[in-house]
Amino acid sequence: MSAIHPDEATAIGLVRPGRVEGRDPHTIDGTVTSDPTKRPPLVLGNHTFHTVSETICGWIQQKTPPWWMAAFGVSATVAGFGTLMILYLIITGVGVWGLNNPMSWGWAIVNFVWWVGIGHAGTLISAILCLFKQKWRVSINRFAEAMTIFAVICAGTFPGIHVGRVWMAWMLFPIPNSNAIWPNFRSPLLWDVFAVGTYFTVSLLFWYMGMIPDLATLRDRSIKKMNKMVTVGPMWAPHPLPDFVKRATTFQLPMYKVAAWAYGVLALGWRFSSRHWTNYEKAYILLAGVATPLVLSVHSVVSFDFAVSIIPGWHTTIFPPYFVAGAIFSGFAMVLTLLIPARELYPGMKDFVTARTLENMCKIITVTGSMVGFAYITEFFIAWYGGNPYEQGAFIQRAFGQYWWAYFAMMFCNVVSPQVFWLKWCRTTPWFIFIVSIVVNIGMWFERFVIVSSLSNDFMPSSWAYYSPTFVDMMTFVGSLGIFMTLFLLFCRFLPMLAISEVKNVMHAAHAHLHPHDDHHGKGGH
Amino acid sequence: MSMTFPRWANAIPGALAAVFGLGGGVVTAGVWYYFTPSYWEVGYRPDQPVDYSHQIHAGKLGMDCRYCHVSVEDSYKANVPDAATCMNCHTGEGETGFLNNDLWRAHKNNVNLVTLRSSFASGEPVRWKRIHKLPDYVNFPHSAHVNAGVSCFSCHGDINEQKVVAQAESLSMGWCLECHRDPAKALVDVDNLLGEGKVRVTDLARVSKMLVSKEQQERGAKLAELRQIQPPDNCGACHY
Repeated sequence: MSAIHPDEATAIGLVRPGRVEGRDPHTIDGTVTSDPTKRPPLVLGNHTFHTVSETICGWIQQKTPPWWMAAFGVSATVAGFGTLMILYLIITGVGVWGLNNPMSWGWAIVNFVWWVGIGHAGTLISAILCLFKQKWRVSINRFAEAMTIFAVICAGTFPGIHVGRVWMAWMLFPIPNSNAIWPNFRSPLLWDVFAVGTYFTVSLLFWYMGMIPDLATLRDRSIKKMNKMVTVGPMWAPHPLPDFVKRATTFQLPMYKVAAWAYGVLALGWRFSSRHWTNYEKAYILLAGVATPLVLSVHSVVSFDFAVSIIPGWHTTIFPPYFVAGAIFSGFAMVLTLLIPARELYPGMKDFVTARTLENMCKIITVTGSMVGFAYITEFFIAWYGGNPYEQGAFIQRAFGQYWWAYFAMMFCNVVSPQVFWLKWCRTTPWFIFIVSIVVNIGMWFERFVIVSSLSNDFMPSSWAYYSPTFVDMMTFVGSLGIFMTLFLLFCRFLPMLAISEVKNVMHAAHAHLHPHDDHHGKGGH
Repeated sequence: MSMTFPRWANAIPGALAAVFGLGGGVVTAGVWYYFTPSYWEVGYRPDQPVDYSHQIHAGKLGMDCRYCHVSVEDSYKANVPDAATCMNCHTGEGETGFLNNDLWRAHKNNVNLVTLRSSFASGEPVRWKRIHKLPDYVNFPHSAHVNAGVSCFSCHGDINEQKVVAQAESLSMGWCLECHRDPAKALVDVDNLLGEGKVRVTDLARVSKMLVSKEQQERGAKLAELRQIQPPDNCGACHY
């Protein structure tokens, strides 16, 4: 290749960590630079293709870390408790929640919108950033897509159980039936079913399809050790456990054979042939194209649940863009909340998830947080400028009424807190980013609560009521966090957390025509 | 690289697609056919405590349905007659009644009449088994339908031909709505608006022929227009 595209030239490592000139002394790993003409490498360390596979597959194939067992135990317990709460709700009825007459939606819709919003980051990172050729996304896209899928699962739970008679939840879908009852096609609640359903399907396909080459890598690595037996049993057990108990509960199992079969089935016969790669690349870009409008459409439709109604404070055209910005805002925050601990806990992950990746995500958080803040202010301006007394009343209630604390929590968490990322130290210090990301998640939950609680002051002052959640409300929400974390930890343990083939693609070695000394040609070496 | 799976594994995806495609089709078709009131409800024909024959009374003898089901024009419910109604005709020997004493003697030991007479004497009602039953969350006013010119036949079928009554229609909500959206197929000319003669809603022998005739759709549409019949299809029409 004679001409090098400037973007290419920077990405392929004309700038290497040790050789960056004028490197900013404040940054942690040399990947953050204030010089726009220099672009640091996306993968640190002296990685070859082989060591990349070793590192990422090692997280799966090595022994279960003790912290994972502990975290999984806690998450699964919380998830189980949440499931019991749902069971209690189904057996007893929605009266176990704090719903009252004007506030008929309560926490269920707050949690639904919160989780769906969180689910936006994955597709944004994998689809939109892919189309914009943002190569730094390769170290986080798999992670974010998995998070998206689990978030949407948690989101889907809430409308499903809020219908009260869960055995009638099939009526959410337009299914021909002998009652001749159809959902109301003019209702955004039905559009929501389609929007979220499509989003979940496409995200799942995108996630799975992108994972096929990596699953094949795992299959091949398992085949190599096919005949090795693995000791499964209470090696962690306390010392006083009698020997015969230990013996009786310890097994030699052909786990690699199981893994080879499981990954083999999931890899769908992938053989790393160039024809496979050609089809893969085409399918990837097509799915990215399909998924891109979904990033914008899903939360627009979710916002219609509110905006299409005639409740003052809900009936505004600003809702779709404002919801989409908020969704991306909260999604990125949740990715950071999960990514930063994972980066510390998994050895070698920092080579891929660099300070620059975190910095870029912080910048997106500041941008979307400012958009959300702008929307909050616009809402107030329009309430005043529009001259509608009911609209004005709703907004005065919102800021200074019975839920003033929620409003100010939202304003602080969503509008003020992301502005700290204007400071370089703040957006390059992982523990600090972690704290802000949690604050943002709390803020976005409050945003939905603030919107939904507008119902408390409906059209008839005599029916105004204060909504307070019950124990079951709270524990169902906490339980959904448990379900989310359980699924996520399982993902970390059994599936490739980083897109191995994509990471290899952005390494220096992938562009070996410029570096004849590199020994691997083409991707997919293992 | 050694093969993980034998060569025949290549056939698995196709086989799975076939099995799930076919299985899915069978399940859908099964649910479609079996999971419906038209499968479970239609044809329900329980044994009644008295072998009362609609075929004899309403068919052969030509009795009007309203002779026994008196309240049908005035009330939501079409009542089941008590034994006293039967006693109008089936009175005992020497008592005043429509049946002569010869007929009475011929049926003297008929077990069904014994049951009826003892019910009449004791006041303990005959335990008829209910066939047409709607859920308690739906209201069906018989009066509104009968007075609008919907024949008994449209919902209960050819009662005049049945020795033991069975459920003729599914009574599902979809079935109700089908008629509410297109009432023309069920309307008969109770007021002689079309000048072809008055038609009784209870004249099952005649109505059953009229309703399946080619002209019914046109005739019914005219009647619906003349009588301004616009059946509601909102939830609150029946569920209140």
